[in-house]
Amino acid sequence: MGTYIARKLLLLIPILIGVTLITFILMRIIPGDPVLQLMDPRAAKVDPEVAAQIKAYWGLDKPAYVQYLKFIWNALHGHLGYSYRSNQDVLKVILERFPATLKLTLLSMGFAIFFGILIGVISAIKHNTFIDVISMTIALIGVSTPIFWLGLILMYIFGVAWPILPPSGYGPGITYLILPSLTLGYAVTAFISRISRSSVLNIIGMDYVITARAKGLSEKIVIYKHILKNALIPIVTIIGIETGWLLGGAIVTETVFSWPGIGRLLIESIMARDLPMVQGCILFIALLFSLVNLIVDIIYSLIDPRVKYGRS
Amino acid sequence: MKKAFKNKGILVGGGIVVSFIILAIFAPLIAPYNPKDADLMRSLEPPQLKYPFGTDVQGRDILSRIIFGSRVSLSVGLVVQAISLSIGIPLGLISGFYGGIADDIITSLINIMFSFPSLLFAIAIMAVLGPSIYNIYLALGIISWPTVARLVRGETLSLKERDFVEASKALGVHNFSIIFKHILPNCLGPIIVVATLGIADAILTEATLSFLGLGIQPPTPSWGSMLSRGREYIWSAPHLVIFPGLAILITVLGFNLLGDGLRDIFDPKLKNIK
Repeated sequence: MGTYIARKLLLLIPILIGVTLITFILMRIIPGDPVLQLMDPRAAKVDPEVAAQIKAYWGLDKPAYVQYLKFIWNALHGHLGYSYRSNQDVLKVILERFPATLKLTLLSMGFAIFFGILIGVISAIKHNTFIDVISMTIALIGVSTPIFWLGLILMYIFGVAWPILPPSGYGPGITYLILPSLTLGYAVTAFISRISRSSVLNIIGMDYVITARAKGLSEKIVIYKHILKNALIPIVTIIGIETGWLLGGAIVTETVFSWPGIGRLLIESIMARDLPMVQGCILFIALLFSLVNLIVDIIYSLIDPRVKYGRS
Repeated sequence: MKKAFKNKGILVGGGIVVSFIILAIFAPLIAPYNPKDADLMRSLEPPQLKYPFGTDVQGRDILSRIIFGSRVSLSVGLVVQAISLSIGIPLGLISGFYGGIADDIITSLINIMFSFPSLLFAIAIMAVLGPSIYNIYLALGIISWPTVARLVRGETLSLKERDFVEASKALGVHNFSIIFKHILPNCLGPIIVVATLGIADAILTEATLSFLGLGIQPPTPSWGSMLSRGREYIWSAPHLVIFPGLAILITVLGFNLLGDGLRDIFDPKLKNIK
């Protein structure tokens, strides 16, 4: 068990290098001089001496690999630089905004896992019946709906036409959370229910399920002990992959509902061309995703006795 | 072929897809107005007989803009799939057929791509390159090839072990013609499924990027950017938001239905259940 986790942790290293390298390269191929973007655009001419000073201050005069190593070194020490806009510490701002994103994503994921698995399993057990057709149609619509549009429609229905919930913004209590997490959660519920359904359907046709039924076990025991336990394994993997989708969706949902999380911070910073902040947000979200996938991998190994620990 | 006509998903999805393509090709003949014709005298008209979907702030007919917007969505779907297939298929074939170092490099490249949330990747690329339709093609092409590559690699790996490939090898057939005559044709089914679902994904992601202000810029009519402008008027003129969103939803649904239906036909495992 211990070696299995250690191996997974080792595998994380090339992934982390990849993620940081991608972030670093992306931020360095921006057309235009980042120094010029810091200067007042109304200034007729940029004093070359001042420009050089700014370049040296941000470390932009060094060769690329030195900049990358420095970037990694600093990131390892929690220094993600300072915002071009407000001069605040990037990591500090991100950590301030993180709880809002965490609240939104946890609530959405929580209800998506619950309802997604429930709907998927019921559809599979009653497959090709009316319930199955209806819920799978709703799920397919869920996968095809642009989440920002769903957000706007919910906002209009429950904030304007029938004003029972705050249409946007952030505040204490759960009322502000309901619309954003419904928006974000619907699509994930749809994904999970589709996967759960096909996963359960795969298991239902297996020999050991037929044997269990032939033995005369009650339908309840067959469903819980034989089908669900085995069907859960692919579902857990999908939940890990969906986290990436969820984080992307959070960026959009936060923008629609003016929700003060990291996603909105990222879009605001892109619009303001605040590069250190953009870089920090991208890195933070990507690392979060890798971490969640690692945790999912470990959970996977715990629930699936077929995963061999140690050497594979 | 007979099965295809019995499958409801293929019929409905295919119907939507065909109408969408006709709409995009014949947009100038179908649209009642010029989508760029502004007239402030008819700003924000609600839906009515003359303007079935109403007008926007500049008084442009929303129905006509949606019809022309289908051209952007169709071009994004097709170009992105072309990029994604022309990167993904060769890499998948090389990686699966030859194995070794090439496989190690390509597989770790795929893994790194999957370790980045794809929408975040697209947003980052658009933030760096700036908003334009060419950058959309590029960004979406970059994020979608790993899915194709992984699929083709998996298919190649299992086909490689099959008797007819082994036999060709024993006969001394050149690797190149084994790949093109035996492996690639047998991967085509799954590739068509992935490409169809990929078009749906690309249309949805383009709309999302344009909504965030990182995609297609006005005055070009794109469904996502129409929603981006329309959201400011959601309180007084919800039709600005409702109709472009429905257009995205129906089109994406069509490609998803078609893709799901095709998968049912190509995947023998699922066929037994249905």
